Amino acid sequence: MTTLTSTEISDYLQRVRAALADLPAETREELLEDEPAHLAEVLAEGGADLAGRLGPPERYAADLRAAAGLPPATGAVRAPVVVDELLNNIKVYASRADRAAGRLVGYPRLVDLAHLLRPGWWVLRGYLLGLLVLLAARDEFFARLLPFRLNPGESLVWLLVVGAAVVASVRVGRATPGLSRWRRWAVYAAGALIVLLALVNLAPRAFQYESGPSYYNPFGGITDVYPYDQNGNPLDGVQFYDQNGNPIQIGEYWRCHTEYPDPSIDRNPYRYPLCPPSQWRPGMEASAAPVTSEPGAGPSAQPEASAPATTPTATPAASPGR
Amino acid sequence: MHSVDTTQLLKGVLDLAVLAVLRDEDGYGYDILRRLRSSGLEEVGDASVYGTLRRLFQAGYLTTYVVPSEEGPHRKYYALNAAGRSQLATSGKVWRAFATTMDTILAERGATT
Repeated sequence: MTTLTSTEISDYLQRVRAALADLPAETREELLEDEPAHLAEVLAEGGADLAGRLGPPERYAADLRAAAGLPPATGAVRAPVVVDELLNNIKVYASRADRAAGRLVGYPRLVDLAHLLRPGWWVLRGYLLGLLVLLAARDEFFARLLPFRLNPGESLVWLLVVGAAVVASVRVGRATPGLSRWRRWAVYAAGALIVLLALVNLAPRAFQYESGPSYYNPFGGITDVYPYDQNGNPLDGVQFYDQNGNPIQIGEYWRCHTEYPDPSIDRNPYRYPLCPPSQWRPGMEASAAPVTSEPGAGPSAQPEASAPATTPTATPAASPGR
Repeated sequence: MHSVDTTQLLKGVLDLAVLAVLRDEDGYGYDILRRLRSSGLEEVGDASVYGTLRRLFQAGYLTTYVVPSEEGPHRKYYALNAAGRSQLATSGKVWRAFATTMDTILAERGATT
C-alpha cells in the first residue's frame, strides 16, 4: 500500500470516526474495525476516490450506524437528501477533473500532489504566523497586549517566535483531520486569514524596493524644470529626449494644464517650463507655486520680461525640497 | 405513495441476504459485498453491508476469525454459527411466504410484470 492511498484512507476514516464521535469509544471502534481493509479494497479497485465511490464520509457514517442498528447521531444536522446527492455529484465531477489535472503533473490525481505538499503548507502557515506576530510586536498597540516585550530585530527572538509558530502549525495540521467538522473549518478559516493578513501586511514590505522609486530617484520630487541659456535667459518650450530619442517627461504636467495631452497627436507634450516662468522665484517651493494661468495657456505664451533674473549659467533644477 | 425501489426493499431483507451468501462459504467484508452485488443486488451500499455484518455479529449469528493478508491489512472472515443457520432458515421461510403472497396479490390484480 502506498503512502498516498494510506493517507486517503486515514483521512476518510478520521472523518467517519468524527461523525461517530457521539458513540461510546468501544462501539465506535468495533464498528470501524473492518474499515481500513474495506477502504483499501475499494481503492485497490481503482476508479474514483473514496468520496466518489462511497459518498461523503459523514453520510457513510450515518449509513453504517443505521445498518448496525445504532441510533442516529445526536444533534447531527443532516442536509436534505437532494442537497446531499447534489454535493456528492459535484464531488464526483471534481474528482474527474482532479484526475485529469493529476495526469498533467504526473500523479494519479492532483489531490495526491496536494497531500504530499501539505506539510509544506503547514510550515509556510506557521512561518507566516510567526512573521505576523513579530510584526504585531513592533506595533505599539499590539505590543501593549503582549505580556512581555519582543524585539523583532534580535535573531534569537525571531528564531524562537517563528520556530514556535511553525511547530504549532505542524501539530495543528497533523491533528486537523481528526477534529469535528466545525473545528476543521475553523482551522481552514484561520489558515486563509493568516495568508490574507500576510499578503496585506508582509507583501508590501517584501516589494518596497521595487514599488518605491522615490526612495532613490533624486528627480522624484521635481514638478517642473526651468531651462536657461548660457546667458542666463530663460528658455521656453524646451523638450528633453534621452540617448535613444525617447521623450523625458518629468514634472507634473497637470499643474498648469487642465487637459491631459493626447500622445497620438503630440508625442512629447512636455515643453519646459510646464508652468509659466513668472510663477517661480528662487528658493520657492515648486509644489507651493500658485496656479493662476488660464486653462490651455501654453508655456510658449509667456513674455520674456517676466523671467527670473538669477542664476546665470547652471541649470537651477527646482527641487529645493529634496 | 412513492415508487418502491430496490434500495428500500433491501433495508428489510439485507440481513437475510447476508446470512444467505455466508451459508456455503465464509467470507470477509468486501468478499461478502462482492457476492451480494454479483448476485444481482448492485444497489447495496458498502456501509449497509458492513453495518449489517456488525449487527449480525452482535446478535450472535456470526463468528469471526482473522486471516493474514499478503498485500494489505489482515482480513476478518465471517462465518455462520448454529444460531446464524437457524436464523437463516427461519427468516428464509418468512421471506418465501411473504414473496409468494406478494406474487399472488400481483398476479390476481393483474399487475404487469
